[in-house]
Amino acid sequence: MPKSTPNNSRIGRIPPAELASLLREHYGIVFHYLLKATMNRTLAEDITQETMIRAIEKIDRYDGSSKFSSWLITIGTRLYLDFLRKRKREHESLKQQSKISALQWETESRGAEWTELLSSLEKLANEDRVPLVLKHYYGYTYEEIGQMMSLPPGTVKSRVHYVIRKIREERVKDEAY
Amino acid sequence: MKPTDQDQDNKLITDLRQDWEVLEKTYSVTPAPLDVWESLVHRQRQVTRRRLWRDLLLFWSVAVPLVSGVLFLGSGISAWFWLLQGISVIVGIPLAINEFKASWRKGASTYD
Repeated sequence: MPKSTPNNSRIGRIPPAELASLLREHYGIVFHYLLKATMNRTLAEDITQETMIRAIEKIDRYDGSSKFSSWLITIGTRLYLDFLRKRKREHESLKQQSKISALQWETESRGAEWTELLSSLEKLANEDRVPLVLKHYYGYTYEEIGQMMSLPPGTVKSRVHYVIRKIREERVKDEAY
Repeated sequence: MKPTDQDQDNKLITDLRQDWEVLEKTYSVTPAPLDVWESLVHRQRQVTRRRLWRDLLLFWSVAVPLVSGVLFLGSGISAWFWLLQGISVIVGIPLAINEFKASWRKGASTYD
């Protein structure tokens, strides 16, 4: 996770050089989070870049009450959810499907194994992957995820449980074949 | 003994974490050199500042005709009032259309 956070006394007026260094340091964290959330490398790169630009624009609003990485992850999550809302049309979801298999192809071509579990993750609704990653990889609380996604904590909790059950069922089906 | 629901969930979460870690390692990231980031911050701050000035200009270009129109009406100079309203419409409508077009173009191309 994050290696550094801006000094509290200087938040809101971070010098450009320090901000540049912070963003550079956190670029990988945001990209890896979005890669897991989107399961699409190109989209993850695009939204990471957009997140960095938004962070520069909105740095005055960062009050230091959370980690800098959490603040960036919140921006990235909201941008991704906005993107999904804009792309609800059917032909876009078909386009998404074809891009998703590109990740499998690319992962395997880089010499890594593509597991059944990763396939199950791909099959999930895009909005469902986000809380799962935030909860079980980054260890955020349901309240924190709720704030990031503008959802009540109870909804986040039931969504995470539902997703885990769904993957488990998928796994049982795969093992049966 | 048959594993409980909780055991199965925990096993799944452990496996998920392992797969996510593999994914992270497979797609390792090398961020651009620091000077590239510095120039991005510099450029972006300039863009933000310019946008703020433009918004301020737009605000005053609406506020001035409105306030002075009310003042003209209040002091009984209706000819000046109508002249100002006319100019505002002629200048304001193309400006507003331009703004809408620009924001629509930006929205459409953000992730394309």
